[in-house]
Amino acid sequence: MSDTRQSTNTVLGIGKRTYERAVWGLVGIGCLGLLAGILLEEQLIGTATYLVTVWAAMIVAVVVPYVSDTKLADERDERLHNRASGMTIGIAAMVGIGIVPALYVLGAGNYMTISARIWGGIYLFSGLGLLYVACYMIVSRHS
Amino acid sequence: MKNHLTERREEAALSQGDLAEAVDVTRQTINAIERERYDPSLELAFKLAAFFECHIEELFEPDIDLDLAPVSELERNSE
Repeated sequence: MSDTRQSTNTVLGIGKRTYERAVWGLVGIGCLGLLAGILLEEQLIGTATYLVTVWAAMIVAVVVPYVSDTKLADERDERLHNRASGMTIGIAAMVGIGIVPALYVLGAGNYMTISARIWGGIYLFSGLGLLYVACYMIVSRHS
Repeated sequence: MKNHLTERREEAALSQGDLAEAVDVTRQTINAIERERYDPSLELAFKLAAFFECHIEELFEPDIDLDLAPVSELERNSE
């Protein structure tokens, strides 16, 4: 099976693998910067590093495919993304539907105290569910 | 899905990158199809068949049971 990786390079010298590494590398640097900021008690510098690198990653992720001669994402990437998203929302739905209403009812009946952290989780799952429904409606209207 | 993409591509002395560029996908997608880890969309299957100037059935062998009653038989039964 012959495989010429050079042919996937672009006029910018960016192939799919380099593109993905650049995007995720920037996100990784941002996260490390944030973590270092917390550990070194330099939260402002950490946050600035995170924001700069993550926004740079988003700009690279959006702009490079437009200026690249080589296809950096295609139908397979889309299918993988759709499957991963479906799996994520499936797991979130199982946890959300299977646990959250029970917690809410037990809390209302004073069988347990729902802490602020658990309420945060409940709101997060509820928000995610509403976002999914909204996105599903938008997608189904346009297809 | 079993396919003959590797043979066709090698017969044409093309790299995976060359074929990917010709049908407008990434090299990784061609690699995944050849390794039978990814079934292409109908659009991509038609593009590949058009590129190699053959029918889709000559490139791909579906691993599903195609032993169905054809539409012509259904029409005959309903008459």
